[in-house]
Amino acid sequence: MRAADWCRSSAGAALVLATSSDAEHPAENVADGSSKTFWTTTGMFPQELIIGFPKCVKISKVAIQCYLVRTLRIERSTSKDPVGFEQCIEKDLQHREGQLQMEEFPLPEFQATYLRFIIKSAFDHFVSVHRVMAEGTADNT
Amino acid sequence: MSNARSQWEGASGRSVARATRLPRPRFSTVAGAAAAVRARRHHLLQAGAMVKLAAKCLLAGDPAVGKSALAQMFRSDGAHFQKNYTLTAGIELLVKAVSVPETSDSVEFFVFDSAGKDLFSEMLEKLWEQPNVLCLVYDVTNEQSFDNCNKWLEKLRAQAAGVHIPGVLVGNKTDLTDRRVVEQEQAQEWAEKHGLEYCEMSVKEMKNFEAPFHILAKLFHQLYKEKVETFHSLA
Repeated sequence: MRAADWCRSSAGAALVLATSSDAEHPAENVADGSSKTFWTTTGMFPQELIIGFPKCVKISKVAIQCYLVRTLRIERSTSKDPVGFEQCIEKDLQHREGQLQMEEFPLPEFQATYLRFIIKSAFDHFVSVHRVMAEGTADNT
Repeated sequence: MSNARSQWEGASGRSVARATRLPRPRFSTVAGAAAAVRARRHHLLQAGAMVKLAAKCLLAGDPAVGKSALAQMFRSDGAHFQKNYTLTAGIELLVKAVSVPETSDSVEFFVFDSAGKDLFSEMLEKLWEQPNVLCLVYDVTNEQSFDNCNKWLEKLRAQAAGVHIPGVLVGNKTDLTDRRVVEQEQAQEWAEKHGLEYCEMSVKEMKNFEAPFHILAKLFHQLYKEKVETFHSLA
């Protein structure tokens, strides 16, 4: 079985929900495989996005590239619909002026049909999320 | 703006297909609930290529300077779109959108109108967390209400934890010309010194009561544009 990043639209991932919307910086930008494009939040916290996979996948590492995020929580669901989320991890990130936050979360391998990223607080009024990644193998392939 | 709003409202009332499949999240905060509302508008907004920002606006100042009067006036103007409720903690929350001049964007304000008196009980301090903008009101006929602006600003800075909070100082009750004790220059100077915009109004005479929110909308929108530029420079 090969390792793959499931949070790519090219791998069939789809944005199911985003609590902020700027058409110039849509949530889909976190799944396009580029760090140059990003999703912006447009004010107040918490903010969240939910990304759905084409099937139930096995994940062993989640990563995010973002800026100005303070408290981040990642949840997963194995349901057919985006309900019944359970927490994977919650962490306070560090901020360095002018530097993208590149956070990796090695986790005990788990299954998921959806991942939910909740930005609970931030270092400023707005944050950007440039990429999210979920490394793992497909279930039943 | 109000037309566009009611259209969105109508549409979101019927609910977007994708949104109906979404879970009903457990929102523990005002921001969470606001986020849900925005999420439902997600599609509709994308079509219009406009941005709707959301800002938590703290309405501060001494008792009886006219904070609530300002809030009520600001609210009642938007007859079609009122979402308000009174929290038992002695805070009034009102939600209203203001369009940003010379853009197709808008800012939805979540105005926290708190009692001027016992604001700093632990619970109310909690309600002041993560503020975005400040509307600081004083009474031009009451010197002490002006002096106390220092105190209010300090309290805000303590909440802001190093984040720059755009703000406006508002001199109210300009209709009482005979009783005026705080002059415009004096107030303007103080505002400038503390990085605040300044405006005057008479809520009673319905003069200029929207000005503070237009100023704040513009400032907050500017901040967003600047931040987006920063985000571009990162990768």
